[in-house]
Amino acid sequence: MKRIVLTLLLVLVLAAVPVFARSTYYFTGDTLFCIRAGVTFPSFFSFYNNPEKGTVTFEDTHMTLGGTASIAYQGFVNEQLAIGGQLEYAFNYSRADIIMTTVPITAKLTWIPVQTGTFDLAMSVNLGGAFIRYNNGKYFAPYAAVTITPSFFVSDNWGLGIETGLMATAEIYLKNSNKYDQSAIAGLMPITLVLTYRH
Amino acid sequence: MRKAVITAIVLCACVLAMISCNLDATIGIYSEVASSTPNRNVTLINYLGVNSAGNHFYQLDDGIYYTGRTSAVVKSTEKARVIGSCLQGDVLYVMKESFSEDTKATTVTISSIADPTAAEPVETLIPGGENLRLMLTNGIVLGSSKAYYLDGGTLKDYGLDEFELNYAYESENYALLSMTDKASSKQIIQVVCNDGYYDILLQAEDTRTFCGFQNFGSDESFLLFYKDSSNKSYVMLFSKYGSEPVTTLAELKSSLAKADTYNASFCDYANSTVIVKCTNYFDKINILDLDNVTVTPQNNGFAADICTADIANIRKYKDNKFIVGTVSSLLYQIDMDDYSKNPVPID
Repeated sequence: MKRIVLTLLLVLVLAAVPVFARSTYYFTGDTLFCIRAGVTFPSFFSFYNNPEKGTVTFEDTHMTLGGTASIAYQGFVNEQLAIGGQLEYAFNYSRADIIMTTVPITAKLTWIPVQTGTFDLAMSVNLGGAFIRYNNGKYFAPYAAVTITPSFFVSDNWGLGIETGLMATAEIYLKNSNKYDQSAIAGLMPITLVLTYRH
Repeated sequence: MRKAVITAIVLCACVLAMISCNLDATIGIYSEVASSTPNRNVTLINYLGVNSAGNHFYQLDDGIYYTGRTSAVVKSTEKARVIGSCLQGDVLYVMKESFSEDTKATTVTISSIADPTAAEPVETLIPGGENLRLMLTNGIVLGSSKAYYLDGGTLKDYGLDEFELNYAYESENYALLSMTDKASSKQIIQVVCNDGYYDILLQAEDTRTFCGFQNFGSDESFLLFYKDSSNKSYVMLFSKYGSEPVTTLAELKSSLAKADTYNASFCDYANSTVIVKCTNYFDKINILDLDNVTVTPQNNGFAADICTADIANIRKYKDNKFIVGTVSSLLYQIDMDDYSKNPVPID
């Protein structure tokens, strides 16, 4: 699993290298509207204040493959940078068959170094908060994600891409909390299809 | 522009750091997910014990099974529902509720199965008992107004005054009965032992509803648990078998540390510790005297994974090993000689 994802990331990066020549398609004020949906692979839980628990990865997280969907709206602040917001819903099941939902609400910054008109390679950073819910527990957590999205545009406006990256959520308890040693960072790896409308 | 974006990101991070908070979680959410036990698509009612061949018996909602056998030894059907069971030595006892289409009446019977591991187990009806309602895994049987115990395959009456049973909990060889005495209409808290002895612990008007009961120590002492409605904490009361009936029970000067719900308990005799499974933690309780009690929560080691599971019951297996019967993940063995050892699933 780890190998597949790393290979996929490597191929995407290498594929982009030859076309890194600077050329721009977008202008300041252009907008992007994206709808994405796909799967999320549980990647890790890091219990950074609890050496006994340490970091668990993949199947040891006791989570199953999940799903995610989101909508995002961004505007270009220059030819390569777009900024906006994203609303997402992600879910995974624990091995007890209990659903864990994550609803990130984030600011999104996208850099599109490769833009040919028919092909875009976008790299995005999302920062914000996420409402997490599992069983009887609820938490509002800091959230960050980095993604890479190659997209092909079939017309002036419509494009379809594939996105992957890492979504990270932090469940933070301070030293004076009796749950200090339960503090954790969770990582999910999404692989999604992205439908983009640009204007 | 760059300055504005950096400022926005820093501000966003600061606001998030301030508003990020645990709204309701009783344990870390990710900790709970990582500690989850697999759902085996079963509903375990009780773990019954182990026979001389090492088979672990357990009662599911659809019948009685043992490890290594996928079909039920006794199947629970619509017409004959298994409502209780116990294993004594190699003999399995089953309480069934049957509905007769002819008489339109429901009857409750107890039968014994001398060789439950046989290909075709034979059930033998055990006579006796009035208005039977409940069979505990330690062989104590309760009717709506009388209490019995299984003795060598026969049902024996304790000979208690007639009562109305409110509820019952078991711990090892004992059962705590909350009953209303029919003659005096008073609520009595009584302890009965599966060897035929009994003792009234509390004889008073008492409106408290106990939610847990645990035998501990070598001198037949008991802990009774109830949730105080005013401060929402769990109160522990102490009582001793063979004492004169009292109107109040002594209260320990400590309550459960991590209890949203009292789930199950057992006594680790080797370490003189009562262990209570709460919602997401196990509380280890050491009692030196009523004023000197230490309660230490644990969700690692022996408590790992099963600390988030709903537990049906816990029974001693051998030496200082216990079997934990979880409602949807079946059985786990825990070794209390080393608290740092993780539970081992039993297939």
